[in-house]
Amino acid sequence: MTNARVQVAAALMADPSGQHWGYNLSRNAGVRSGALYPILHRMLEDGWLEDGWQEQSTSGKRSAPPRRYYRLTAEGAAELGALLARASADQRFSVSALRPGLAQ
Amino acid sequence: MSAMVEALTSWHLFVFVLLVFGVLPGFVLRALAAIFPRGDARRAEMLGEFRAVPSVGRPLWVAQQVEVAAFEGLPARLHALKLARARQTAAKRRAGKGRHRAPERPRVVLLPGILLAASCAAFAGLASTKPAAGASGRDVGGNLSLVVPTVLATLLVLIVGALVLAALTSPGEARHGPRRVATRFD
Repeated sequence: MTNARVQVAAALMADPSGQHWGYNLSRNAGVRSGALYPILHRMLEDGWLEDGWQEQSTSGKRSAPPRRYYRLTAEGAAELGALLARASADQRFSVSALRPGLAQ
Repeated sequence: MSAMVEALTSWHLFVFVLLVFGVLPGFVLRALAAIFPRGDARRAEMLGEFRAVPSVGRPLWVAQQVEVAAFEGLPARLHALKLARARQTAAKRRAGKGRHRAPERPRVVLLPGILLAASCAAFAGLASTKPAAGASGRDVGGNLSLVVPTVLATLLVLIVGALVLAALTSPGEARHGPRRVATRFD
């Protein structure tokens, strides 16, 4: 359980049923891309996340490349909820940063 | 004061801003994305996310992708090369030729390294510019005049490198690799 993993979990659990994008997750969790994507990849492999592609709306003629989104599965929501509960009891992690995720 | 205004309105600064916040992030990102093997989801994801990043934050975001490309892209590329080589060897064995031939040196592996080094050099060059060394604006212009040719040269290396990389990887590895696998089951 690393701080980056906990922060990503909190960012995901802030909106458990919504779609999350890499850049937004990186900003919300305060985790750099180099740490974020291995965590997301691991969660995808574990079945905690599912991914998909969303076309970006553009006003121009050429369409922008689609964005990959991540969505929590039921198993993922349960696992990340447990992870956040454990993290909130651990003094190494900042409790205030976990509040949005713990509120779910 | 007038020297500072002169420096701020110089064409060097204009070109510098145009490169750093306009052209360069996209070029560097495409070169970095080319490190990932063709068909890798991260390659498309990286390019897709780029549009969502505000223009002001793009240089820093692209700089962060150097780490992503180095620690995710290169291993993925090496893995894809290994798979492609294994497929080629298996195909040659089935065809009954090249049984005792030594494996060819994977030249393609060098190119992502060159691209990475060039990207690092570009960002290191940009980071090393001192915004106001001394009090005169001429120093600013002097630093920029050194940076702009460096950036342009790096850009050229990146473009040529990405083109060579695309040309070298497409025939053997990705474009025909999955098709060969598919034909085994036909």
